[in-house]
Amino acid sequence: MTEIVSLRPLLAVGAGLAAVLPILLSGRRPALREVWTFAAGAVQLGAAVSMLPAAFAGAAHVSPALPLLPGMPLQFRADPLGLLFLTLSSILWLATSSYSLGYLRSLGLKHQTGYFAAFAAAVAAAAGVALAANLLTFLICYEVLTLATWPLVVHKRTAGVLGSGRSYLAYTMIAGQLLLGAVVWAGVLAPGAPFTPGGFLAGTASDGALRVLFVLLLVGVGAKAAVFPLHGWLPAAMVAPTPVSALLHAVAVVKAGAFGVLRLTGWVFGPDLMHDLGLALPLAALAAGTILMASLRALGEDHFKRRLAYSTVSQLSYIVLGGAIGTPLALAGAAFHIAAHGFLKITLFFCAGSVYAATGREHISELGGLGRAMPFTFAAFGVGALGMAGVPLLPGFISKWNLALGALDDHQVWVVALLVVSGLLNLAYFLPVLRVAVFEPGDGRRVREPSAWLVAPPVFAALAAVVLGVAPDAGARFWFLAESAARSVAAHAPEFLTGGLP
Amino acid sequence: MRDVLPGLLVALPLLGAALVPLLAALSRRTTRVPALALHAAILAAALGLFGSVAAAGPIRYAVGGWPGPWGIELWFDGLSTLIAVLVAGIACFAAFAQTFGPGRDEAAPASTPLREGLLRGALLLLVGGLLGIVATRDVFNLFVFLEISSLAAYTLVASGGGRATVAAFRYLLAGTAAGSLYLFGVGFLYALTGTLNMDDLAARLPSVEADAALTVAVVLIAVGLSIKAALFPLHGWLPDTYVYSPTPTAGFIAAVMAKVSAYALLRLLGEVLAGTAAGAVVLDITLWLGVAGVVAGGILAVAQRAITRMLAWSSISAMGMILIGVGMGSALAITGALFHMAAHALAKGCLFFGAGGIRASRRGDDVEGWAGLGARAPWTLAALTVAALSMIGIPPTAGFFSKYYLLSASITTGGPAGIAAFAAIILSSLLATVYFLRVLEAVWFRTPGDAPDASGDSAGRQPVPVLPRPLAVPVVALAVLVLLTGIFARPFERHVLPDWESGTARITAEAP
Repeated sequence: MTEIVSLRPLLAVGAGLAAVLPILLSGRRPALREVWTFAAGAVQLGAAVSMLPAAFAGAAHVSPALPLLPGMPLQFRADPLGLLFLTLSSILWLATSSYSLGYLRSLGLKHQTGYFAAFAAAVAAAAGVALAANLLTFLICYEVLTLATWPLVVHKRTAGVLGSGRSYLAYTMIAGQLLLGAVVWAGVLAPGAPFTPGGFLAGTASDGALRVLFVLLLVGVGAKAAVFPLHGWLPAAMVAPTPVSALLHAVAVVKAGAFGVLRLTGWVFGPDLMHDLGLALPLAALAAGTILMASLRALGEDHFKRRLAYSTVSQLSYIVLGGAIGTPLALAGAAFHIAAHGFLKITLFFCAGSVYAATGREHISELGGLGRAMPFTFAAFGVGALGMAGVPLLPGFISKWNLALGALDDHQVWVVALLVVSGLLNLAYFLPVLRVAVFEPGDGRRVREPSAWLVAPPVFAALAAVVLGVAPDAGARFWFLAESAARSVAAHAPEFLTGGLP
Repeated sequence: MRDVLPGLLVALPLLGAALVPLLAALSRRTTRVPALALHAAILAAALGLFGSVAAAGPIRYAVGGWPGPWGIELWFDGLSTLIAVLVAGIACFAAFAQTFGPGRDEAAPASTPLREGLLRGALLLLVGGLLGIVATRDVFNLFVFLEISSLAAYTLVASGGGRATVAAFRYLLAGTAAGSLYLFGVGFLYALTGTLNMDDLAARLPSVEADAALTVAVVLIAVGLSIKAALFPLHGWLPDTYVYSPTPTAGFIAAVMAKVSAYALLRLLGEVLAGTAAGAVVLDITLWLGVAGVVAGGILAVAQRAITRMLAWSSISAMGMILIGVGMGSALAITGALFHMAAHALAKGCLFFGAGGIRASRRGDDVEGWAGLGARAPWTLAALTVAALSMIGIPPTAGFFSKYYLLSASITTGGPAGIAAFAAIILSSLLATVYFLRVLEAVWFRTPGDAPDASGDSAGRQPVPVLPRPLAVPVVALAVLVLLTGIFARPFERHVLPDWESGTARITAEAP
């Protein structure tokens, strides 16, 4: 891959970071404060888009290396996978920012300055995770992400909420320290530990040691990805304001974790080594278990946001599953699911938040009558729900279809059955929401759609999801990015199947 | 420059220590200007040496023109100039806090110009003693400087009055025992080899390798310095000393005092006595005790309710970490240990200045008393937050990089010791997460209403600032340094820290 040394990756990562201080300093002037947020979002999106043409041409923008540790610089590289994640998070950050405005104002929440500052820091950290060129850079951004999201999770500041925040920190900080240990170890085994398509660890240590290292790394990134049994913090973190949950799930924390698992399987170990060490199948089984377990938990959950949270646990394990299978189509499907799930899940969370802002209701059984009162919101919700289940012409279908094909390339027929069952479970826990909202009578109180700030973002996200489902290669060309990421890994894994991609 | 600065660096503080009290006694006026000017001059000398060594290599300076091994030599390489800059720099902050600092604690006697002058003299004496330890190339001279610094430290600690007096007495007992053990060890070495010069010693030791007395000497020296470096389980003096000292003293002592002893341990065990069998065994034991200290210090820090006491136990954990690096002894490990000395000195100095100041403004010393302070003094508390994150080891603060080096070193060391060190460092970060994030949660996310109002006794008076400005300045400055040291870790390490392995080779080559 041709590399272009430029400052654009730094700009993409630095935009949000640079906005933190101005936001904190303009706390007394809300209008100015919001300008900073949107300006940073626009700069980040601009930087991401400006790096796309190079990626389409098979090149990558790379930032100059800042030496930090012997052989381990701080460096960002806009490879296809990173660019996919970055572009997604820039778009969704702008959407979430406008949604946050409406949400915070309509509910009159306090601490808005700290909220927007932490938000900017979290998105910058997620951008850093996306573009990290080596394990050290990844680790740094990952840790910053943990701390930047803490104030967002405990936004309400009550004793119970602070307790949930501690639970969040307990999982993520322990995982972070294990990740630190693993990164140091990988850095000793392979100096520099740069993300390399197809992995860089083969032959550097004994099989046993590499297996231990894999488990350490997996726990390190898997806690954020909420892989079973490390998912406990995610439902607890639903105490956060809804735009925060939307960000956590679609872009920042959980998605960064799933992204980390993909990097780990495709760019640190590589499919070849994963199969040689016998790690691929256990990881796939773990992901399958998470998918089913979380779907079943979602069925029994009446709290609106917590049902969405379990849905996230389940959906993100598709990405882990794709990474574990490791065939080109499975990797492409998994990478594409980052974007697909991002648009769909943010739609769903926006809808849940709008319902809360308009009515104060948090449980699915209380939604009666709202479908007619809030048509736009629930139409968007319908798109999100069907997309999650994998209905054709919506993006979830594309990721699942390719995952299934990729699994068949590896002769893992059970994965197809799993995908079908999971799709049905998705319908089973999302359609009742629509049924209650549309067909059950309300309690007679008059409800209207909330302000345009709260309606436009979910409708936008749902429309974007439809576009992505119908024409996955339009605009930012998410499918192209996902496919070229998978292709780069496959090209460096000659011993393993390379069939499937044309 | 290179001919004058080495002598000045040690002579300035010692002369100042005599002159400032004299001036105070004669003029009966405040001595703040000469004292601060002296500290600034010392820092300038240390920085000058630092730059000169980085540019043109190590400096050997014969005191009074008497060359070694007969005369006393001073030796400045990247290692000693780094520690010297650290000591002189934090001394400036301590002097600033001492001069403009918060009102005296209630237990302390009334302040007069003479008393102030004496305490300023004591601080200068302490700095002189520590810089002497850092610079000297003579093992007996090192003992003299050790005693100078200790005596000055007892004075400064005891000046807090009340419980500080008891703490100082306890410190004095431990310190005297430590000094005596060290002196016995030096006596044995002198009897065996007939020399006190470190380079000469290193050259002559192989010929007396078989002698059992050498083992005794090594053990005595190691135990003596370990007490001063608060190596677990010889740390007993540390918590009370740090907690009850007046704030400017606590910030200075907590930042550099134990580290200079760890530096002496590194010089002697890692460089001079490195070739001996006993030295190797002692280094192994140091490593394991460091592991124990890291874990025990962390667990006991979690158990504390008072913030200053929690910080003191966290220091024991950090000293364990430094001594793990000393014990492992590889170039990577020494780099980590030195880096941790710098990172911890900056962060812990910052935290002690801050915690002491907040305690002095009658807000109490427990976590509840800190609830909601973030909203009242965002800049100061942000600085303290940076220092706390560095203690945990969150990137990109300095603490992250020292832990990274030490973890790398423990992997390359391998074996049970390497694994134990690795696990202990990870565990200590987790424990630090627990005890520091508990405080940060209170500071930023809780309101004072959650807790019994700590400022209840000041109801109706003017609101007291969270941290008096003379303390806020060092706190913020040190936090900035913590960040800069982290971000510029690599250039700093590459240009400044010595290549330990070639350093040892140089000593062997130069020895007559």
